[in-house]
Amino acid sequence: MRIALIPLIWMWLTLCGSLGVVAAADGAARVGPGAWTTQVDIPDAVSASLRTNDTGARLNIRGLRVPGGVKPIVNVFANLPPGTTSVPTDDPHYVGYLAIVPSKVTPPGDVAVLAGGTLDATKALSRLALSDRKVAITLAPAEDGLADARVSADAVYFTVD
Amino acid sequence: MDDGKSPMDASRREFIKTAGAALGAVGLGLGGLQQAAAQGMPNDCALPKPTKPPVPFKSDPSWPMRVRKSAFELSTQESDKLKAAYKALRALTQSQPNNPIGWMQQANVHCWYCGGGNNGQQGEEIHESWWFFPWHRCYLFFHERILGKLINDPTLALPYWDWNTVGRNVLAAPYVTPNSAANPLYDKLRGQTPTAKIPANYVGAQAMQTVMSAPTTTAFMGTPNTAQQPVGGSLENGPHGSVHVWTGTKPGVDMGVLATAARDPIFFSHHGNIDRLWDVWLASGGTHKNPTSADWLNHRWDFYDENGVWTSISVQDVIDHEQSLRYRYQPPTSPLRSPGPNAVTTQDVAVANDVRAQLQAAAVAPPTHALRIQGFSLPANASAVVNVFANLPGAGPDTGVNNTHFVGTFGVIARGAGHDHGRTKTVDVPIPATAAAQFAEDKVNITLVPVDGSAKPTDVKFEKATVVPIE
Repeated sequence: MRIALIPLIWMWLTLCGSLGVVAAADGAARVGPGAWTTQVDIPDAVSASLRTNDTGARLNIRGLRVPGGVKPIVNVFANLPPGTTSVPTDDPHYVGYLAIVPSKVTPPGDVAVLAGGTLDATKALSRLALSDRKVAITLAPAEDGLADARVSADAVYFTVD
Repeated sequence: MDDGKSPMDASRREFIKTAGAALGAVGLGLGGLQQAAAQGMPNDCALPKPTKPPVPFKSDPSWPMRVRKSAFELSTQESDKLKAAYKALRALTQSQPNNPIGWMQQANVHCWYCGGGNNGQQGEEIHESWWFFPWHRCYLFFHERILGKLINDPTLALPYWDWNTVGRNVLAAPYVTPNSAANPLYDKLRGQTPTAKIPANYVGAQAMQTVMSAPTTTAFMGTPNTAQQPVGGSLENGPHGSVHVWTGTKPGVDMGVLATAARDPIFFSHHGNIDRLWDVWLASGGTHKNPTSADWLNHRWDFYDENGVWTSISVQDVIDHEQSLRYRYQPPTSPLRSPGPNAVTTQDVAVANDVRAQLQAAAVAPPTHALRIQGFSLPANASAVVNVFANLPGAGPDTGVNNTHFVGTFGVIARGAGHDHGRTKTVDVPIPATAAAQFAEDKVNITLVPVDGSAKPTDVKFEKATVVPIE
């Protein structure tokens, strides 16, 4: 019985990896099992801009690492409560998403290191009423891919627009 | 690299590393992997070698103005004409594979400029930096002229796929009718069915508002290519990327990767919308401006034109596309963008003399006055996030909020049938100092734009608005 199930499980995993099953409905950003979190300092200049609200806090993500078999669309969150699996896109914890088209095929088992991008984090940081000088930034695949395929980035930091 | 022919070292944009064995354990087998690589990667995407130096691009004012329309608004005749042009383009590849204006050679232009083929040869990287917008404008211009030449119609215009317009986050009919190889606009390596919808998270009003509100040139258009770690802007790494990935079957098939993306005819209408949204962002004014650096303006790329002439064109040549390239965009006919004479989301509001004076004097935060919107209504089962603009009656969901017309935002949550919450609702929106100048005359036009939620634009109504002091 157990042996008979193995091909089915294999087929299911392969199918998920191939088709990129969407697990979150419209209006909600998914936090997939491959989520990755890093603590990011909030520089004084960013804190000042948030207080006056006259310039934007920009989140920079460089060297975005996306495993083969995972669609390169990554949701970005700030101070995400533990165990969260889905966040409404108008929730302050949702910062935005990055979608970077790879130039070539990335086979499963390899990792594409993409340039990265920037997101306006002004609203997210303002609404979270941060009391300390750090924020936890989480990157998560927006769609299901290979199980436990983890995205990450080489550098995550804030600047002022 | 301006000749577009010199090989580069390994792409700075992306490289692939071997990762842990855990991924491989649940991945495709070796055969599938080889198949994916073969599908996704041409070996050599260099264009046929030019026999002469490039000729500088020269605009011709006698060219007819080409009007690019939404792919959802093409007439049958226009759709048939577009299909005839792509049929001729594909036929050229069959009869003359090395003709530089044929279908696969055209697709290879994009491949060459974004990482090249399996042989390690590639042109200048035009993604993930400030080259993204102008290079694609050039590419679409020459592609469009080639299509027109093939059917002897210089008025032929590429359509644009306005996936950000409500209801148009699906493949447009000309590209899926029929959804088979009998249609020159069809691509067999497109992974979506004709009824599949791009998730609102990617191209809905809220996502677009964030993208189109990018306050600086770098944030919207990307960094200079000479930056230490160049990156693309908010449109390139947001909706542009997600629509590519969504349209491709999986990573590595036609629209899903840059090497093969232009093998799908829908690529050109997707990028028509990107090109149009560049115009929309600039039209918002304020800090929304093109780079002024000579490095950007004077940069050149080479393309084969419709006559097969190797042609050099600069960024400066394509900034004013109506004047130099002779095309313009017809805005989508959508109620979200064209309120029309009977719209109830726009009306003039009186501003008293003393209030005007106080508003102009209060050029610092906090706001001293609010715009009181009275009789705001929605159907009982509808929700909305509403942006409020002053003196911008054409405002739509693409309109950014980092400008002097933006007053503020408010939200209304659905309460369900039987709770007619909207009829008497009053909302106060503080007037920020940045918008005070709009209240300098005795009348101000106020427009409400639903940017998110379930409300249709025609659902949003208000009876009147006044300017009141904040208690």
